[in-house]
Amino acid sequence: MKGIARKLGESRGEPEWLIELREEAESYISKAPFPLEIKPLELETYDPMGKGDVELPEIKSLDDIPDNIREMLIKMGVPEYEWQKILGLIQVDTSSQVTSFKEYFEKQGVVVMSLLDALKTYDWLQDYAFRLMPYKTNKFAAYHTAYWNGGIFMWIKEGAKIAYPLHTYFLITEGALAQADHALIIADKGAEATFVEGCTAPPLVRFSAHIGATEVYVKKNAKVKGIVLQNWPEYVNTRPYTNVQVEEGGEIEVAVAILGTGKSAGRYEEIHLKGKGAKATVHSISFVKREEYLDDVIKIYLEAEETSGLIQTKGVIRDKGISNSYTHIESDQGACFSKGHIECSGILLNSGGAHTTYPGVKSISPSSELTHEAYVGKISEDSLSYLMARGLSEEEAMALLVKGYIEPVTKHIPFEYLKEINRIAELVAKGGF
Amino acid sequence: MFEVKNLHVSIGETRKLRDINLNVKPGELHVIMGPNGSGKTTLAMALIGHPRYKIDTGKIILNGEDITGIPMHERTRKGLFLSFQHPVEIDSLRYLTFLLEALKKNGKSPDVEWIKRVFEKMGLSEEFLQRNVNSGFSGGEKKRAELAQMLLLSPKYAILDEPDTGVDVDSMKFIAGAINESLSRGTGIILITHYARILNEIGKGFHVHILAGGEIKAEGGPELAEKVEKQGFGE
Ligand SMILES: Nc1ncnc2c1ncn2[C@@H]1O[C@H](COP(=O)(O)OP(=O)(O)OP(=O)(O)O)[C@@H](O)[C@H]1O
Ligand SMILES: [Mg+2]
Repeated sequence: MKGIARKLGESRGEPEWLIELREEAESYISKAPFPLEIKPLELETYDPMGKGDVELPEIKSLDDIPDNIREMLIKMGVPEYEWQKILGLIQVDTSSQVTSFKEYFEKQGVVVMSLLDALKTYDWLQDYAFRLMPYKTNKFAAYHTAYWNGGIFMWIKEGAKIAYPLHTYFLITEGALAQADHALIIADKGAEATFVEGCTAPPLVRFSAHIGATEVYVKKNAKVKGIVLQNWPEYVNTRPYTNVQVEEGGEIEVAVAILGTGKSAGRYEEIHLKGKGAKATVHSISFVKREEYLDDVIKIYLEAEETSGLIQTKGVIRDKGISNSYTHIESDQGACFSKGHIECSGILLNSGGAHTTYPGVKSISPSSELTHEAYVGKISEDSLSYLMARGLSEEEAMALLVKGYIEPVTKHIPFEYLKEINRIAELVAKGGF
Repeated sequence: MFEVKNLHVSIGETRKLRDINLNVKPGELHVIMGPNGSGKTTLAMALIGHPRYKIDTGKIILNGEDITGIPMHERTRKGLFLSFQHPVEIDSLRYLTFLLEALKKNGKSPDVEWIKRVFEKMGLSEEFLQRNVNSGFSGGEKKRAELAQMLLLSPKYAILDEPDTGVDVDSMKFIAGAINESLSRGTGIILITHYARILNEIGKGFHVHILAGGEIKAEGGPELAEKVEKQGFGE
């Protein structure tokens, strides 16, 4: 694939340093190892120039929606006015709506633009872009750095506090749903913002592989909340990679809902708490059903005193779904009086699938306190009988128990998405998927 | 009327109950007493339709309708209720969420204020509704919560499996109060108990059935309960 990286970079008019970075990464792809926890993909089979490999009907209006997709949207109760967004019918970068959005954002202290424009506009971004996930990390990072082909830059300026959630997905300003999209988020000192990535319904995409990456910088005393919603169509393999760096007094809180993994999903998320008192919390819920496959990796590194990390993951597995949950909290020498806790669990709704948890903690700091707990089980027969003796049918009882089980995670997800998530929980519990 | 006719019940391959007959009219109280392991809980479970308890022959009839074969949740919706001897703890479901759902399924209005009042009447503060179902409840609290559910669902017929076991004097008052209230509303009650103590709190007459070794061995009025209390089941 040699030479493609330069061609790609030049065709987009990128600065030379970026093209060179692409080239270095490109020459490293073949040498780079796959990450240990994540299922490999045959990257050679995909076209890095971004030509889609999935044939989609041309969708110009809601009337062109294929029946199976329409059925799914109705089943999930997605309001019709959301369909346009989901189907990518709104070309955000050309619509005047976005221009006014941008002006509005700028008044509030938020800069939103395509990553490419940002890299051309702000020289100092050289110190940020692609730094949190060096291409040498693994094969996906190398591939992504060499061939990324779309992305967004969001910068919350010092002290700005944004009350409404910012949707990174709908604002991807070039090549919406590119095969390798890159998000760069900077929350400056004291800034506060909530980001939403993805949506609860499966997007129609032209690529069967998605190697996306997100870099997040949380500066001193900044607070960032991230809501990640994923529901991929069944022909898609995704390998998203997220790396977050938090400075002194900063906080990151992430809530992840994986509603559909597509053919396979390998999520990798790494958070580094670099400054005193920095905090990270990750809550994740995943539904893995039919023949879906998930590797979910969440790691928190405590690298300064009084830092704390919490990971809670819950998996709901049905049919032949396979789910692997890798969680890790590690404190280094300087992390005095740091704390970390991992809680992972999974329930199997029927037989045929599997859920495996690999919780791990590692400490070299004597005053650091790290704990973990894990369990995998099924919905208890006695609980089901009890509810049935109160008038709930078996399916209704199952749905209620599943919703109750995921509640500790869903309570961190904003109300407007909950209805759909609960509906999916119900469909999964009742076997309607 | 709630009728049990020539009921034979097995768990697995083992016959546990033989030829049980009962006729309960609205507002009547039927007391079932019997030694440990005599099959009282088995009877309660078979009547509510728990799948682990197999009805070999016989019939269960609710107001003329044969409900012997229908699933548990449908029996409940038709007005049958069971207060469990050992209510399960469900660690991931809030009591209030559960109750609202149960009320809806039984065609009752899911009115939170009303639920709070009934819980209060049973000596249970609002806080219990925020907790998970029976999770960490004391023995007495579990039983009171079961009877609060009976008051909320106001079933046509209720089977109460040892609501008075392991409860203190105050809890006993709440429980007897709930039984009296339900009886006066016309609910027919089958009360499984080991003690005559609770019967002293009941404001009306009742029937007593002695179950031993899976069969009803004796029947009578309140005097039979007194006799059991004094002499045990040895006969
Ligand atoms: N699931 C089961 N499998 C096998 N045997 C069982 C099962 N459940 C109950 N039994 C047996 O059936 C018999 C009747 O039990 P049951 O629970 O009905 O007694 P009980 O009269 O309610 O006793 P207690 O007064 O102690 O509550 C007992 O010998 C018990 O061990
Ligand atoms: Mg019993």
